[in-house]
Amino acid sequence: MALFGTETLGIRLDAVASIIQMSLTPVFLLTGLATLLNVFATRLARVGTRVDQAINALSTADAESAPILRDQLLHLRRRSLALDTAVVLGAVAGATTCTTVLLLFLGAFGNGSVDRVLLSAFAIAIVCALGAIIAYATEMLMAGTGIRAELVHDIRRQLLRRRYDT
Amino acid sequence: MLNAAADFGTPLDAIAHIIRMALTPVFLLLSLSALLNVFSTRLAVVGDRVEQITKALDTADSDHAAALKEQLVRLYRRTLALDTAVILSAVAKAAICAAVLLLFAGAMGDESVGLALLIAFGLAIVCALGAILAYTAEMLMAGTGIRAELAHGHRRHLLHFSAGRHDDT
Repeated sequence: MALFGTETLGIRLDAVASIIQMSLTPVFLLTGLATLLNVFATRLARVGTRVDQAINALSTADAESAPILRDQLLHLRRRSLALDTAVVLGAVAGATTCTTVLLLFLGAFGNGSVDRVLLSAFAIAIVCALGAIIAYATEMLMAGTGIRAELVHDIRRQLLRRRYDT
Repeated sequence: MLNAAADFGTPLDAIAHIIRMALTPVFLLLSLSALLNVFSTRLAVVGDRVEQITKALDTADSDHAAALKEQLVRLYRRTLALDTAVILSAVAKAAICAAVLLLFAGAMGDESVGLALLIAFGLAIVCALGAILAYTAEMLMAGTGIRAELAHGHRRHLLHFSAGRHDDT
């Protein structure tokens, strides 16, 4: 509470220093979000590689495995959408976190009260981080389902092949 | 608080205090390093893709080449966005280091650095914000790219099939 209104006259060094100290929490949140974004980007790159592989395989696929590959592509598309959502939410959270720090400065050195905006900016950051994690969890579950579906396909394909051979 | 250093009472305490004060900038530096890691990884991926496509362009037929060129243009835009992100985060890092130095200068008794400190830290935050926005733009472009490629892959597959049939007959 002492932050707002007490240091409006001039800019004193210890005031700035105390604001910098105060912005430790948002900055920490930013670190966490950057780590999360790293994870999302890695997974998105992997999905992109898989898409490339599936498209390449599709161009040489026989009539039997082509539907499976198309199924896979559809699945990968959904995964990339979920990851995109996670990335956008994570980035929005990062942007609002930065805004929070800027608003801390504004609150200390500008005139007028910003506590409502400050609160909502931080709340948006947290909510977006939550959304990003949920989208990521969804993608993870989809990936697990995809791997299991692929296993089933593989087994079925082997059975079919065996029947062809005999 | 910072004045404790000016009266040379207990220098160690004052320095410890400054180091504690520098915790936030250092954390910001850490998060920017993580972001820079993300950016450079993605930039490497985009670079690989460009190389692949340039190689594929050598052996591509005219229909395929048009799609590949379209992809190259998209990749070029992505590298621009990523370069912006990298430059902004580098500027942010430099500004943070300047902020830490200014904190030290302030502790040495120079009381007039308040505004400069504010500007340095504010610049760092604004640049970090810009870097994140540029990265988001790039990510959205990449997602659109993957989906466009999927659509194109389907189309190419169909073309391939019809071409194959032509060969058979």
